[in-house]
Amino acid sequence: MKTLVRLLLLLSLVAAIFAGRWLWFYGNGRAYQTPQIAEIQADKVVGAPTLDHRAFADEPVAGNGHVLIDLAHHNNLTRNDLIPLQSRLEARGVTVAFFDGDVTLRYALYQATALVVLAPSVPFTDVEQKAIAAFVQDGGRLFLAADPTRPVLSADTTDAETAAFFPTSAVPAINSVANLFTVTYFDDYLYNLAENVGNYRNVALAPADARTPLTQEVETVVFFATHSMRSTGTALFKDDAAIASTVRTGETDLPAAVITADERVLALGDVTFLTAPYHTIADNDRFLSHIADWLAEDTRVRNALEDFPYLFSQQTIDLVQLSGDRIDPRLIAKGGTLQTYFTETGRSLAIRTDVVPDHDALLLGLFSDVPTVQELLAQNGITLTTVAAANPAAAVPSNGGQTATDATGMEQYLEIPAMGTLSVKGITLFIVDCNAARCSISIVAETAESVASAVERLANHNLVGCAQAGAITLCATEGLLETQPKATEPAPTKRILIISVEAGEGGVRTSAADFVGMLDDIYAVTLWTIPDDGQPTRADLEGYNVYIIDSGDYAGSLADSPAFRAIDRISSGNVLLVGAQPLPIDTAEFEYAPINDLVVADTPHPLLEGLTAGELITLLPSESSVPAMIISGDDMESAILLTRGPNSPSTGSPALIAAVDETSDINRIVVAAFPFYRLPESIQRTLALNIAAWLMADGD
Amino acid sequence: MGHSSRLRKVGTFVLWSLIFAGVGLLSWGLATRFIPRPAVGLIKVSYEIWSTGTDFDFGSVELFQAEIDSARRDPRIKAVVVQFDSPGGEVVASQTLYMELQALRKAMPVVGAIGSTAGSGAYYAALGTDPLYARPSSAVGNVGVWGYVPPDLAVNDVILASGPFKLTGSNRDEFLREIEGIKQEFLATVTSQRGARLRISPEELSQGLIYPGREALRLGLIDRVGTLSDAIAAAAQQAGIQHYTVVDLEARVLDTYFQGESAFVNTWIGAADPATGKRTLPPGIYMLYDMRLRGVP
Repeated sequence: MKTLVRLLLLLSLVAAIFAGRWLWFYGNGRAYQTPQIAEIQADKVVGAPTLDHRAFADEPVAGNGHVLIDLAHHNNLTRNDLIPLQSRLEARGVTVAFFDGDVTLRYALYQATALVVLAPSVPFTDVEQKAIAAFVQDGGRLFLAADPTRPVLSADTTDAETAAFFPTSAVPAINSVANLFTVTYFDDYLYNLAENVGNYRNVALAPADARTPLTQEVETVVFFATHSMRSTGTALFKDDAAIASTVRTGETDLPAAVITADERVLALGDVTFLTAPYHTIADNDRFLSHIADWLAEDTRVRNALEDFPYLFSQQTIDLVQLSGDRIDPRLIAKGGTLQTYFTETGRSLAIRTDVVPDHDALLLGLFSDVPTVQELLAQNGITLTTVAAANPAAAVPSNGGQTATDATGMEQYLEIPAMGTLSVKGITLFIVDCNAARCSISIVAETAESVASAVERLANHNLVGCAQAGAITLCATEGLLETQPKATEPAPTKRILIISVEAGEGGVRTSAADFVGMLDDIYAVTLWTIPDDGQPTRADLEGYNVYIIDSGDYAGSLADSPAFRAIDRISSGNVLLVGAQPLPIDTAEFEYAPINDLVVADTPHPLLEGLTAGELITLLPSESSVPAMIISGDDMESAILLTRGPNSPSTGSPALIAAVDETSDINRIVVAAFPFYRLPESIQRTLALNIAAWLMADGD
Repeated sequence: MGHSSRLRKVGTFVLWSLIFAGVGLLSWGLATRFIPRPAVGLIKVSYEIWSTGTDFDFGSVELFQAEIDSARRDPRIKAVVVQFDSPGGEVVASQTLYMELQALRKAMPVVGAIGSTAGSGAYYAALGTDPLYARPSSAVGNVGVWGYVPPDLAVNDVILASGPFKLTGSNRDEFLREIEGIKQEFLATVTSQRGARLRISPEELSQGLIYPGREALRLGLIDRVGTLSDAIAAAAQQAGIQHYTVVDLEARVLDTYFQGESAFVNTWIGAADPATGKRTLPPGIYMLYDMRLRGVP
């Protein structure tokens, strides 16, 4: 019995041990219940719908005009991207040209009736902005479009992924134009999480209730990532509460397309919808055709001299000599020049002896042929007065204008509304007279030779030195032209590339922007900034007449700079090397010293026109205090034009030199061993224009 | 009672005492063996989630699978806590981890604890845990997917292929649909797993925002604000265990794999450089909250 009890106790002990241990670890009375794990309903997982590509038959209505498409501002698109728009324009009889910066924008816009600016990534210069503003003011149409997926093109191809993730916004570039017309693009993109076309950033837009010709019969337009904008103009599409901006949190007024400036400026936030295949989605194609229709309307008002020859709507323009019985042979010669020019613009010239009513015409006359020209002048409110020189006081106007005495001893004065009274001497008068049927330009000057020069001036689009008041333009006939430096002549086909070695960080800078400001009016100037644009290739350096390589206010190891190596890749053209370290050679061989002033050398040289020999030029303070390179004057075959002044170490050392070497690829070279921005403004401009003109010349 | 009788009694007592002690010790030993101290397994998702195919590298889903398998095989492990400190990673790897955790939940509690970040694919995987803890300022969410658009290759006479997308597998539009489908899958996973707890619409969620832990709690993206210890305690409670230990499954698997040798484990080829934050991602589609894209150089 005892044994049995003991055995039971033994079993109890065993059970207690197991039970105790179990209870110790698992004795809280809970056991894991396998949960019901919700399954995903397959029908809730749907991919994006197939894009709604629609067939659209374009029905072009013949338009007219000349559409200029900008490609000179590092536009982030390809020629293929432009094909849908280009083909629609051409179907409407519109000529399409591309602006690549070979000429100035102002020059290129003379012919244009519309300008298309798509995805620029380089801001427009002040000069270009003025040209565009004037163009729109004259009734030209401007189509702007930017795109958040088309940022500034990265010059750094070594890290494409980083460039893709951290793009540099191109919004400042488009805003440099859009802001002129109260349109501001935001650096954002619109999205719609609820209803979109395959992706949150593909937003569908419905036209605003107030339809414009651009949105007729358009039900839905799809933009593939679009900026929003702000404008006082008319929004083309409805506000949609489901559409939000990545930047403008909480705002609901987020237009992606506006038309403004009396419907002469169209601004869109997307470019991709214009390109293949995205123009075929929804009503994009119809919208594209409406844009082409809009661009094909020639609403540009052309009634100013600078619109020559595009103010002539007829194909044949009469050249009529009002004075004299016979056609002056010089006019025939100049007429040949005009003929060539007209041919290039699709026009022809007919030399006639009489005015044919309703014909576009160039009317040529002399002030001396008073009976003929007086009526012409009177029609435009101009009074031509002829008095005997012997009694000038009787005729001299109250403002004391200059007198002109011809061979017969007579003097002539012009009294022009808004211009006052002035002598005809040395003056060429242009009068534009346009009505619905025809346009004429009357040219009146002192001599037949002056008239012939004026004709040539028109052909060259040279209105430098002219004053304009309404339909009347007065130009200094010849003297001015002969005394002006070459640089003041319009030379739209002359191209300058400015290579800026650094961007000016750290309190130091180059003078590249100064050069652009001084030369952009006259030459087609391109700025290449090494940190932004990378090292220029041989192809990048092709096609320029002059290269300005600006090392700025830097010193040290710039000899290794890509900009300096760039000079080895220049195959033709002339060069200005400028900066504290202008020469692309081992810097260890040179000494440096602060430079505070310059002295103009006593050397007759075109570069020194406008400067006085021995003149002391005090330089503005350096922004970096970096000393400038001292160039040795020994064995120098170059012309020394400026030297270090008395307040600078190494006084008398060359600071500006110019050399000609006909045997080299680079015929002419100018070296300025000081930062150009330190020159006083007037001297800076004079010297820059002189240098540019001298470097543009082909030979001595 | 004689002396011998007393001796016999003492002997019997000693004998039984020895028997009791022996049986007790034997029982204790057997109990220890058959009723081992329970444990909570700890899986640390501390890197980008990706797939190697076979190798165990930090962040590789194969390592996580081995850890889960180890937990499933170990009778002591009654619950698992997954600690997330990851910005996510590859789509398929993240989905694999999610599905493995869901499968494990059928056998034992699986609780999630978000440390600094459970972004994108890591949050996707975290949906396989319940409940889900986070700190007040943990980075939670970033629901969505991204990838590199495949190139549109032209037809040429240098390379011949049997189909238009044979070389690229996709084109821009197909790729758009593909990532939209993955996004929808992600959203459906969130809505199905969070269920009635969710207080944010799929549209809002698809913005891809990162939410602080406290905000994530308000939106129903997590269940509680708490620490790893809280998560471990919750896992133990769900499993009905107490006086448990915590087993670092990563260390165990790596020790087993490398058999005591010093483990040398690679980081992922696309892992961010600790010094620069830069990474080189191989082509693919990612559920990845890339810190670099927030401006970190």
